Amino acid sequence: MADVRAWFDGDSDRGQLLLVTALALAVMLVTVALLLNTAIFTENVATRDTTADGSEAIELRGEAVAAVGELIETENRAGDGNPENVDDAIDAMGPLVDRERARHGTVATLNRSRSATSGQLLRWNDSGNPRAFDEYGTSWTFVESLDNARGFRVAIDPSTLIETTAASSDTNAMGVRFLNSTTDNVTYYLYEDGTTLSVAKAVDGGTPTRQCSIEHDGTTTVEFTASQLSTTGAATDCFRELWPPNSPAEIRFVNVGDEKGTAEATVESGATPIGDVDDDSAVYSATVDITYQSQDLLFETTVRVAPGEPR
Amino acid sequence: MRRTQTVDDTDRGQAHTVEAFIAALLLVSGLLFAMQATAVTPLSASTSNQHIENQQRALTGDLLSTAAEDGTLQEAVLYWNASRGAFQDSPDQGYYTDSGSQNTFLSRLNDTLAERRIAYNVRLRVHNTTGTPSRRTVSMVGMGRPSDNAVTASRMITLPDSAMLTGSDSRSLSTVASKPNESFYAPDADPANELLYNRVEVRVTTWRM
Repeated sequence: MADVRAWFDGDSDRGQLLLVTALALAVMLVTVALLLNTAIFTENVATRDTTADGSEAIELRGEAVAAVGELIETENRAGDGNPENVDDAIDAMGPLVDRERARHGTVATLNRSRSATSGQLLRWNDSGNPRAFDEYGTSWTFVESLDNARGFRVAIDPSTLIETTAASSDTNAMGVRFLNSTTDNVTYYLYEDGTTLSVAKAVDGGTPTRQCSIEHDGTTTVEFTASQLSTTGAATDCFRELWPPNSPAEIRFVNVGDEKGTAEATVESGATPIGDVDDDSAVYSATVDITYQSQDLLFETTVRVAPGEPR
Repeated sequence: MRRTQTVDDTDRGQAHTVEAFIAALLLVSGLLFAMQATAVTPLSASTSNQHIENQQRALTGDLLSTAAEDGTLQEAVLYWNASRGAFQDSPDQGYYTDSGSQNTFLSRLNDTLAERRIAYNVRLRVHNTTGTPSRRTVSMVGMGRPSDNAVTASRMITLPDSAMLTGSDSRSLSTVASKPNESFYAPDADPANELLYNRVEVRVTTWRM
């Protein structure tokens, strides 16, 4: 057979073909890389919001707790808090929550788990005004036989406090002592340190150490259950707790001198206030069952709502 | 002569086919590159726009949570003039038509959103249990029609019967409900109950101006 290609420049043709093929391969490789990148990005975007339902369920729980807490506080604020009123309000709120969530394509229920528990709102004041703490001597019990307590706060005029340091505060600064059933005690001393109101903690008669302080501007409130100090226009969250870990059964004021102020606590029924402490019936807590159901998630929880209870 | 010409055509045909594929690939690649290089504006639909929407939703949700926590959301919802039947200091429409600082919540929306060129509508959805249970929607702030990329965040708050209006009429909701010449936008969802008044869903819709 004759070599017909010899008549033409066959090698040049092959070179062109190889070049073009190389280019094609290069472009294809780049395309594959781009497609792979796009696939990864698409997967990333497609799976970005898989936990959205979970956050909605948690949000519903938070909203329900806030709503029931608001109802309890409103009932107590009016005086003579009646647990039945809170029960009725929770029963009335259930269908509303159901309708709200139905609009979002999910099923949500809010039901009363059991009846709201009753409590007492204890107040130490003089018709709402500050009252001297030494009316019953230098050491007296505010409440005993205590089971659960929330919203315990002492509002005090800082100018009536003793000026001292943390280490020596246990000798003469006014203290709030928490005793448990085995008489272990934790005492929080309130004292003035320059222009600040400070709180020092002593366990079983040990040396007090400073827990928290705030530069005071007028009446200053020590929120024991919330671990917070507040004064006019300022508040500070204390990193060290102002509520003892010993499940207190009694709250007592010690080392009382010329201090003046008010004290308030909501306690569960069964506690006994001492002396002339205002004692008003109140609602202590409510327990609700919350259910959230979407296409992918079923969330059920039972929450006990007692606004202001220590963590 | 004729036969050699045929062999040459066969080789050329293969090269032309590959060249055609290359040309097609180059054209497609060019198009893809051009599309990637197109400027993405805040209003064009794209993945980066999705990111902006997520940011706006998170920002508005956080604003609502903070306001609900410190009570300013409830203050805004109750900033109502019962004798006029409109939000306090609002224009004739009965709701605010521009960003403003009439109360703390609106002031925060103004500082956080309006100053970043983000428009917003605030609407309140309440329960109406008279007759067939339904929900009624009331405007608090209306800044116009939202764009296609608008996002909405919402928050529920519960109003008790004893909640006091924060506008010039300092009256409780149950008192307003009992007066024939005064009105509040939300009816009492359960008149038999003396504690619960209604639940209000505050919906804030935001979009880039």
